[in-house]
Amino acid sequence: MDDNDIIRLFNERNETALSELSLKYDTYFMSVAEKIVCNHEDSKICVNDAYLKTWESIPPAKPNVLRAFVGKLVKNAAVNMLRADNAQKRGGGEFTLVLDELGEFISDGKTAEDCFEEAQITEEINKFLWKRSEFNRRVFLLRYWYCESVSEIAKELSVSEHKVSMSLYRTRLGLKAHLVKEGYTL
Amino acid sequence: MKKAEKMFMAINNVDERLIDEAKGSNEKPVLIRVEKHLPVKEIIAFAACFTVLAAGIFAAMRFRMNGAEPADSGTQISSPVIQTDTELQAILSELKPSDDIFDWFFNGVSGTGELRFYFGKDDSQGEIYHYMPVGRAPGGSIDYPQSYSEMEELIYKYFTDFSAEVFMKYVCHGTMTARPDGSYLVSVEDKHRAENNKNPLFIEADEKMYCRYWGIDELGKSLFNMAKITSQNDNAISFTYPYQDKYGNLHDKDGVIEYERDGWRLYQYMPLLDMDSYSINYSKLQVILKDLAPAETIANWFLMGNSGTGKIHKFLFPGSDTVHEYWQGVSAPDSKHKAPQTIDELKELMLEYFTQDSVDDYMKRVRKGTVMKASDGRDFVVFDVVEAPDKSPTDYPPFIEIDGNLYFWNAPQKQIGTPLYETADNIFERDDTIRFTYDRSYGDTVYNYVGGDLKFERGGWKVAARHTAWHSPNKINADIISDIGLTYSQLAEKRGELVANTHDGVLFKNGIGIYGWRSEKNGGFNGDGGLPNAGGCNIISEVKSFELLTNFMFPISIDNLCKLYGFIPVSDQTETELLDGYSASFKHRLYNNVTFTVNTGCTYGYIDEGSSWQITLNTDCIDAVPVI
Repeated sequence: MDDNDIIRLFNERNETALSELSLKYDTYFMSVAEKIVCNHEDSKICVNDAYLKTWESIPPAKPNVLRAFVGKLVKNAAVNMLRADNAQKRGGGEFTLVLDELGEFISDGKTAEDCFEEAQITEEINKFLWKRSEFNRRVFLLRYWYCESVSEIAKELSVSEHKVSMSLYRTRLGLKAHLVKEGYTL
Repeated sequence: MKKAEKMFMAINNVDERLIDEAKGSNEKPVLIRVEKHLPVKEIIAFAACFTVLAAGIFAAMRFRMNGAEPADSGTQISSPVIQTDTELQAILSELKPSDDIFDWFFNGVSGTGELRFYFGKDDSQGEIYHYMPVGRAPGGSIDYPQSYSEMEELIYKYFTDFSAEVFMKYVCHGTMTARPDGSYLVSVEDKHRAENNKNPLFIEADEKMYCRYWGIDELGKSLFNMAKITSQNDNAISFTYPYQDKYGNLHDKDGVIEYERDGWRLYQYMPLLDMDSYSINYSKLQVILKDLAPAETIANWFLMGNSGTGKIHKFLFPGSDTVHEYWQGVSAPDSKHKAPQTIDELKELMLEYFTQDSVDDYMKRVRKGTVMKASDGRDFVVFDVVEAPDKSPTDYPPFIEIDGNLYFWNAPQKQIGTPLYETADNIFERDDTIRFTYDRSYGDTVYNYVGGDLKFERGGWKVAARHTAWHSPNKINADIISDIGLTYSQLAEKRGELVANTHDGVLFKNGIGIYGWRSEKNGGFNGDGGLPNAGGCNIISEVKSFELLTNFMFPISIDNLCKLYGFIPVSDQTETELLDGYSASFKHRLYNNVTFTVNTGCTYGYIDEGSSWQITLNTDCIDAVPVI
């Protein structure tokens, strides 16, 4: 079923929307969750949690890209699960590495609650990423959104791991410079 | 919440289109990749069928090329050398979208957009320019950007940040007003014209972008369907194509495509390179340098001949008591290759890494010699007397062929590989070039050497040609400077007969610039002094940049002229004078007795290849010996 049709079902409060969503994207959502919680059962809980939130969100939400919209909710659920377990560093896999990389990228040893708000930063990240090449954008998001490893990204994009690493490095530097330029204290 | 988590969650909520794009939901641009390396075993096996190895290799290359399929979308071309016009056209027709986009941006002539606007205040003088408010990109998938931010977004999408920043400087701001007939009037700030000495290609009016229409529909694939290869080297193909001007006349027009980081790209001259802006840093440069393709290491190894752990052979140089060292049988840095011992072996190895043309050019540098026995039993080498075109000792040939064997000139310093670049500084980056300086010692003196150019070619980053060329390009023409101090008769002997006598000096048949003899009356170089006087010539004027600064990349900002090429502003100039003045004067660390003054073409801190220079003997050196 077409994404627009699924969204229409949500808007009509037709519960078939959930089964259609699951039928079409369950594998994708599971892979997103498993990158973070590293556990099939937990991932399933996260995905179901996200389905529920999707049901609650649409309407009034109008997703631009349904897969990504729900994917965000899946990731939020997965991260919340790790937090609840107080085990964010034991989530293991690429998620831990991604957090480490992001930590190094912005770390100065201080907490950041009073420095920036997520929503503002997201807006700046959007602006920044739209100015990068498609390749760099994809690499960045495959790493920091999909939590894929460098080798997985290299394979997926048919480039060398070195090129992926360089792209990530360059994009991180660029993002940092952009945020600093926009007045954020990192 | 920790900072990293917060950033993670911020990234988590990015635009859904970005998330979707990352998984490849959008169409991909077509990349043409050209494999540079030829399978050596295949070549050798093939060549074995022939009696002459080199001829065999060349034939193999041709065979492979002829067997290569045209560059269809996604097809890899299996040879580094494009042999036929058809192959060229296949590349041209499949240029990456960014190339078309670039051309489209620059020329604003693509698509089927309507012409709706009249241009500016010159309308009253009958000069009407047209703009296309709407048009489709060559791929048919993108509209002309309609706002400054859309333009910016599109540019950044296809080019590196640096190029995009430079490019955006072309975008001029203007204002647009409605006319009674429904068309619009667009005017552009004059200062942009003055600064760039050219008409703007883009105009932003009321937050809309307009591209200048040049009247000739020459964009896209049709532009190149008659292209003919004229020449090519490792990273560029030059060609001609038929071009119809606005009067309907047909001309041959030159085109060049260059191989850059992302594939073939139409060459574009970007006159406002801001070389102070760079996006690569030292550590990234080191990564690149360390990961240079084997060809680079090989090239360096060939050039310097002092790498590896090979056995040193010492030879007594005839006519001198100095023992010179040569390397023989040295393993290449990649440990897979032995130093070639014959010309054929060298050719074979070179062909593995470079194109035939490059190899042919390179082989010209191999000089011949003969091994002889000294009375104490040591070997020594008698060279054929082939004087280097440049007499700098650092430019001596890196190879010597002795009775069919090759020997490497042992450079005075070990400069091979990454240690060469440990002092890399002043890094500048553009789409296809990374330039930097590094320390290099001559005897006891360490210079911040300019020449760390990396060029992105078909096979990846390479040390630029200056490192492998026989005569080192990118240098100040010492021959011109050596004319300072010569008497009229000496100059006539060196530069040929007198052809003109001007107020400023004389012109010789083979001279460069105008040679003058300024007297010291009135306390300096003032007063007429054109006609030859007794003593040495003390001023040469009208020397063009490209003659004085050979193989430099123009335009050069004054700042980089100083930073990268050893020029030093004379002490009594202000920054404003240097950047905005009619002329700017410099000293150079290698030429202490003369002052260099660039007279024209130096505007807003940039010097182009046509700028005129004046080389003046310093007043305190008038009675001194010639500077060179």
